[in-house]
Amino acid sequence: MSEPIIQVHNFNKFFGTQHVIKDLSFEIQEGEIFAFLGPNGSGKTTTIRALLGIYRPDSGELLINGKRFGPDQAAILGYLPEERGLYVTSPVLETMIYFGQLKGLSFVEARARSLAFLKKVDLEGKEDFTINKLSSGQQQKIQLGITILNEPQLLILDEPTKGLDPLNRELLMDILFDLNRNKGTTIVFSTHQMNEAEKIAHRLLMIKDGKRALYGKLEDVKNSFGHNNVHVEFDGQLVVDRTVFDGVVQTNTAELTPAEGISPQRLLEHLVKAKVKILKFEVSNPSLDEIFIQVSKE
Amino acid sequence: MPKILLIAKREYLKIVRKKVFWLATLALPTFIIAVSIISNLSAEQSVKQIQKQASASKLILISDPSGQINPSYIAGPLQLTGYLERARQQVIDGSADALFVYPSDVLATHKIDVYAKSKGLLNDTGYSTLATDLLKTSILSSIGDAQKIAAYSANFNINLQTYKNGALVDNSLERFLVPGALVIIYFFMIMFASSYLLLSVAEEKENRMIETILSVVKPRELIFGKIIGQIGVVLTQVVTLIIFAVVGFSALSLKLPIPINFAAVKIDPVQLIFGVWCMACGFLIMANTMVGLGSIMPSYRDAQSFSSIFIIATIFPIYFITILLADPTGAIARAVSFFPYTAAMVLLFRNALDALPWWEMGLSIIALAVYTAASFYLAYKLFEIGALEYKAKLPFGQIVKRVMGK
Repeated sequence: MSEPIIQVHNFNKFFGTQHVIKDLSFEIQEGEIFAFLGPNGSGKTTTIRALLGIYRPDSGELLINGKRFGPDQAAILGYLPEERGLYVTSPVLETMIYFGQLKGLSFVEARARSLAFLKKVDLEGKEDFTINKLSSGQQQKIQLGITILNEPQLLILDEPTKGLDPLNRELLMDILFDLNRNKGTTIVFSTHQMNEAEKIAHRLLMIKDGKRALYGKLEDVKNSFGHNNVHVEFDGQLVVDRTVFDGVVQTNTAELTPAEGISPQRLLEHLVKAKVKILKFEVSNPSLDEIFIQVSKE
Repeated sequence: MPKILLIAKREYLKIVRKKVFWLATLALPTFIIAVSIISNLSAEQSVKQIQKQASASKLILISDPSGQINPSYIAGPLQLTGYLERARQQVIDGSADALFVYPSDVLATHKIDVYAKSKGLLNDTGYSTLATDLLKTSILSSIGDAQKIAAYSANFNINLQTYKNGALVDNSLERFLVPGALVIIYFFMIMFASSYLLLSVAEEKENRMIETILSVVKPRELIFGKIIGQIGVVLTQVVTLIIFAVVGFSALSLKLPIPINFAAVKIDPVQLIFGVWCMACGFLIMANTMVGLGSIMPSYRDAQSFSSIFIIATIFPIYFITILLADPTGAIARAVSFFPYTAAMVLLFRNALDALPWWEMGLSIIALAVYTAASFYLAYKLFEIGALEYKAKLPFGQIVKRVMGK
């Protein structure tokens, strides 16, 4: 992790009179996997499109490698939009070569890489098939192939797992990991699947109503977000005391949230004093899912 | 290869590789050649049939109360008769093939009665021709001068010389061939290429490829690439049509409807350059319109219903061509010369007719350039506004506001 590959400063965007992005700022370091989160309509796709020069910002600065992105930098980018498709009546290999060439590869190089990719994703032998002859899962593999054919320095994926079955999702994740680890590719992805973000992202940005809601390392965000949750397994009777904690108590287990200013240590002391026989006491941060729901509701 | 050419190449190959493209391109000339062959054959067949009929006839009776039929022509199966009723009966019972009756007032009434055995519609008509020819030849023979008779039947070569502003005007067909060909080529460009272009932009949007492609190419590269590809398609069509027509007509030795002396074809460089300029601008205005429409409409089907309005507007001058030909410098011709969608075709017509003063030619060059630039700006704006609006048709008011930058 070194220089920021993406810099967004005070970005504002209006659609008519609607102010959809409000003074958004963030940076993404080279080589990191960055999750871009937010509820539907929060402005993720608009920000990505503005970053790629498809939309013009009303104010602010959006830079890739220190300058405004233009298609002349296509060689460094792989972009998989949320609304994605293919030339359905064109043959597979021809389509891949066409995009490879548009991204600056020679015909020979684009052909070789396309064939290698098709072999990797078990589509060998389908080179001359028209795309509409492939299943939707196979078509999604071709979309991914087009996106990463140029081995990009920066990969931007808008809802990459949308519509994918678990098998293809796994395959996609493997390919992304491989690119990040072995080629140093910076990966930016937007998603609604919090478990995916939690699994692979180094850092994250969550926006809501066009404004930055959360931003930073995954652990920092979790730590900074509200109180630690405590999972308790016990024997005896556990009575909720809202001056010390709140939570859901069942027969032998409880999920507790310490009150403002109360540490997990102080909570444990309180339970011991209350003669609760503690079998297990585990401090855990809130999940990204919980944070997402909470932020979305606020 | 530059991106713009990669796009053009893809657009070009996408269309010319389709069988339906070649079918559509070759259908028209094939039809014309087929009609010419049938027409030539049937003309020859008719003549043969009439000759055959005359020679095959055993007895054709001539009743001539008018006295106009030259007796020297009554030979072979032709035979004069003074008994009308009996002759008619001979036709009815089949002992005579036909009876031609030339009444005494034939010169005033131009009426001949023909009775004949029925041998089918075509053969029956042949007797009428024979009866008429016999009378005409007989009348001409009364002049008594073989040269005059031959001159009367000859096709005269007219040497027409007209003058305009004191100078001789060249009205030969060969002079109009090149500017006329430009009008036809322009017509093809509008009819075929504009539809392909609309389909190309609308399909890109329907296939959800716009956003992917805009991350690797600039909108103007995409638009220009598509237009260049379509120009290639049109040129392929035009060249194919010319080759097909030349090869077809020469191989089958068919006669052109109007004889043309290709050696005498004249090319006026100013007229040619101006014509090409009109064609290019007219085509670009239409192409930009199609790009704009394809961008703001959610599907090809939606876009198509609007596109026909612009296509009809562009070829509309064909509907009042007689007015343009009769008065190419009149008020109507001048007015439609400056309307963006009709300008190119009307100017091409007027250019072909040599009916454009220098000042008007200059003004129209500027006007076409302005229209083309404006249409490109509008297409670009519409592309920006609509290309990523996949689901809904944008309200007209919103489009106008956004084009105006509000």
